[in-house]
Amino acid sequence: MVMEMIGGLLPELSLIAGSFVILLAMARIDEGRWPATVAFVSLAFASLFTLAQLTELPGLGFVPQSGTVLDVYEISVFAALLKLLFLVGTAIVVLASPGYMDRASMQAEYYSMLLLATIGMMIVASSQDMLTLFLGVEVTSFASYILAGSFKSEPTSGEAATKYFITGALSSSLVIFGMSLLYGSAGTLTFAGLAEFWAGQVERYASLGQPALYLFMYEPIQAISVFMVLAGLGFKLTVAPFHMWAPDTYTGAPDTVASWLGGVGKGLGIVALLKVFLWALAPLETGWEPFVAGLAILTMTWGNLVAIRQDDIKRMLAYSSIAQAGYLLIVLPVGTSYAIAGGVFHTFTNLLMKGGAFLVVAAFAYAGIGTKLQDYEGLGRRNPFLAISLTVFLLSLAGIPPLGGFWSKFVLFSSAVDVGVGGSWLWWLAVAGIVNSAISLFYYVRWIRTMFVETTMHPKEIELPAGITTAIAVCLVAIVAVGFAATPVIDWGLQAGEALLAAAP
Amino acid sequence: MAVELATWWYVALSGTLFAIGTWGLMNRDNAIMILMSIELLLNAANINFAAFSAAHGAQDGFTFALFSIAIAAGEAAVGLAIFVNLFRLQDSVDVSKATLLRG
Amino acid sequence: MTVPWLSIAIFTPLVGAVLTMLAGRRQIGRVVSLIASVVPLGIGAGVLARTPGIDDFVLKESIAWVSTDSLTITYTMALDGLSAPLFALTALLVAAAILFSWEETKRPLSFFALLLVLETSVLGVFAALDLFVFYVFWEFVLIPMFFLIAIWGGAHRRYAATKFFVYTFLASLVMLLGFMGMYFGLPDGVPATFNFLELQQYTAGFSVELQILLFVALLVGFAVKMPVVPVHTWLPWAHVEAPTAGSVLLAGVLLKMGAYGLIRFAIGAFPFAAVKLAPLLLVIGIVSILYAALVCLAQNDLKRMVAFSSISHMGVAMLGIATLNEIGFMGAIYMLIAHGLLSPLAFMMCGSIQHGWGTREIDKLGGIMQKTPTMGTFTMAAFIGSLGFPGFAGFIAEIAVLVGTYQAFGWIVIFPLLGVVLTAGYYIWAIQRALHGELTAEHADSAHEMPFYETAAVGVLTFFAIVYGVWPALLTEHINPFVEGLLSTVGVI
Repeated sequence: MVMEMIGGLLPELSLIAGSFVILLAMARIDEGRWPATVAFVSLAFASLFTLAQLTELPGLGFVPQSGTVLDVYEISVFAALLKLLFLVGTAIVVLASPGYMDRASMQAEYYSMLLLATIGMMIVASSQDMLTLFLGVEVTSFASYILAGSFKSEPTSGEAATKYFITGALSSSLVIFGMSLLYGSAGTLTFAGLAEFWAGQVERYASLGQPALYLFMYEPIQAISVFMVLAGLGFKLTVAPFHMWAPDTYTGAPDTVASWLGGVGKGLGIVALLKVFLWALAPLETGWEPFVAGLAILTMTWGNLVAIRQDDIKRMLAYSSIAQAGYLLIVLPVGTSYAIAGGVFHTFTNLLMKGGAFLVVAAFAYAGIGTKLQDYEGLGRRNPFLAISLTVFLLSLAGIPPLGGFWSKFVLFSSAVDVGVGGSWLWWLAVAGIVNSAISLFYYVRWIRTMFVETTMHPKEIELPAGITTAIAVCLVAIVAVGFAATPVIDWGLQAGEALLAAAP
Repeated sequence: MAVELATWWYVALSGTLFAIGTWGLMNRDNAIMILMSIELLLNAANINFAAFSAAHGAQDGFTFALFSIAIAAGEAAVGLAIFVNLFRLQDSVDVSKATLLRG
Repeated sequence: MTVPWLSIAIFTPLVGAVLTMLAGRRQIGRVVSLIASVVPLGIGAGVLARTPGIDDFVLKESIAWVSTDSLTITYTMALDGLSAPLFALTALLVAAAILFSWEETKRPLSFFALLLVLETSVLGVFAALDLFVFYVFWEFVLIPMFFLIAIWGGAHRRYAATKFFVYTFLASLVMLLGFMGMYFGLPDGVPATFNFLELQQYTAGFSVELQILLFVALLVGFAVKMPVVPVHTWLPWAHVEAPTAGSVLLAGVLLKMGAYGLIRFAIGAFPFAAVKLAPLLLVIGIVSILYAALVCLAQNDLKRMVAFSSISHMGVAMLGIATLNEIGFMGAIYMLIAHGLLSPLAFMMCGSIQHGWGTREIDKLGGIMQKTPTMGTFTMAAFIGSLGFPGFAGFIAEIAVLVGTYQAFGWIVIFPLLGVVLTAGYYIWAIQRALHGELTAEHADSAHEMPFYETAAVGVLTFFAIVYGVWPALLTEHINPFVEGLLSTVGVI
């Protein structure tokens, strides 16, 4: 019993161990790159254990492949797959950090906080009730507030942390207050119990001959609770109109942190929303479906339109990351296992391409190149590797085949068409996504053009630390390779989707 | 699952606290006032959990409230650290003076 | 095990592109790239020559690419009477373009490599029979073309490249939406597939509204690429600003992709919707012919004139498609090949005149025939070929389309006839002013003849334009079986 419990928690325990080792040893050892090494090793162990939950790895039979720990923490394909994505994404950021983070005064804490933030996301992925979910969200949030302020002596970093903290606190409060009202209505906090309660409510209205949507009208407290949770988690995913913290935070935070927030960190909001809306609130789908679909369209359009007029690459990437949140939000109203596969797939490609793009920005910043459009002139000549990498990431974000971003968007949009052919109006989500992809290409092309077409006055070579080069190369190879071998990713995504939907009534 | 009428008075209280907290968070510039507002927001939820837990005759609401108190403490600690650093950078805890990032 | 000749033909240029980049020096790189582009040319020509009257798919390859519960994609490639000539044409034009740009000085290795990447993607478009694979190649065409225009283009290259990229990307996405609809619209119990040959058996069973909706979605994607009025506005910019080799491939093969897709996929899958919407296609075709011809009359830049004349010629192809009869279809497909030879020829001559005389503006030119007779002769050939002079391939195509139009729509043939007259008008006027005329141009003293490699490139194209003009059976033996097969599914023959 105890052994099984520990076996199930091994991925999380590895990270906790890594994080604490760094924090404890920091007081005694203060030189060198050891925190990054410790973080990387603990991530590697955690990935190995998570992989054992997905596939039967020989010799790791003590890691259970499914089940629950103490009835609050599930081990499933869905949870394990997402954890694996988060771990890989964080490992890439850790790999890229030495060198770039040298000017931070608190490097050990930085790696420790990265691990803690990842633990929080893993808790969310495994949560089975509102309390566990909220704890996970908060662990990630606390760690990422601190991460955003890692450059303690730089006013922009401090400002980013301040703004992030204030909006983050507001969104957490919305979530917890909404949860308290949900608890008041349903008398339970488990997703299964909530789903049962809502199914009963919907049935009650159906027996009165009224659509479920009327429930929101007659029982406003229940409506308020649902929308508070939606808004609060929407903040975390940067859903418009709750996105305003993101551009400032991404711009002010260190570039590697922005890479983590825009890449891996995107997973926090979408996983939490998937858990809450496709499990706990699934019976109420007809009630929230139009609102969430509307938010998806609003988010992608707003993000893309504002991104057009940005001439700072970090702000541009931040707004484009808001647009990615809009694409991800398509999963909720569509709600099929194919759509969830698309969501998981896009979470994966997003952490490669968005994270990778921010890492390229970090590499350029390390070489003393600014973040404005004119700073990027002629970089195709000065460092072809970085310029080509950024080009591939941007084209992938726009959805140009055969890159990974095209595939994940294809699965997302086609899931909307899939239900649309069946008569649902949701195929408009695919139309909106497609128009937005074209808009986004417009501003990505501006940056690509600037790098390759304009000639530079300083044909100086750019030298980089090995770590960040490797990390970018990993993202580059992965985003191209996944375009040619999408089958396993979609397969796993489908399994994850079925696992999540099987839990819901 | 019916909740007694008396419980809704607690909800009215917590709703009022939540509204005050939200107002304070959005309109106050002083970092300390912002921290206080955040405490109000989280404690509003705690009142709900305690009241509903009693009304339902269950323990899980109390458990959530206990965790929530710990979270509020953590939130305050992280917030204080960030604001102290902000004070070091701009010699003021007035968050409206942090205006480097715009666009 | 059979040799995958088709995949070899498609991916050799891609390998060639990598080798070209690694070559290090222009003198080596250009030879490598020319050799890489000759391989698919050989295979394409071999298919045309060895198979008299291709009436089925040849060189077929099919392997599973993605197979999951919800998504099935197969890499299915083959050539038939429609795609084989276009396949060979693509390979020919890339080889000619490389030859024409033999002395390129601005980043030559990247230039040749991009031409080869472009070749791979266009060859893939013409060979793909799986809609998803088709879309991947189709969209990938944009990337090398974008860089060709953006780096080697003229003064407004930034605007032109961006407009080309975003405009056609949006249209292709609408087309992709149509593909998704075809895939998910399949009736229950049928294994979901993007393989067009299997899809085709079910698409005619869709509800009428869905058929028309999907046909329109595909039409948007293909019409923008062709392009036809009113979705042509990206083309003049892209054509005029692109380097000569870019224009050659834009006009020669990229525009053909639109008409090809329309014939193969849109009409192949939704013949019923095509019959319903034939009047729309007719109007689009006629408006394109007349509008573009009128715009041509007002042009002073030779290259801009040739660009607009492409729209006019694609209008003729659209008209041939709208007739939905055998001779009209044959003419439309013949037009793709004819225009694919003559329009690149005209663009190359614009490039040569630019090099030799330092300008392309008609009113600054004059006496080209007198000062530089070789250049003048080839320009003459390009222009009279384009206006539909007997003896050139364009003549056969136009006659066939006009006959088809008369059969299908009767007196409406007056409008395209008017277009033919206008086309003759602006070309002859341009010949008169630029080729003949007095030798008063300010650049006349420094004007020089075209170098041998340019002569070789245009010579090859002129040769084929005349061969297909005097011996149409060479092509029609391949085209006709395809047209008959298509029309038998349309059911209006």
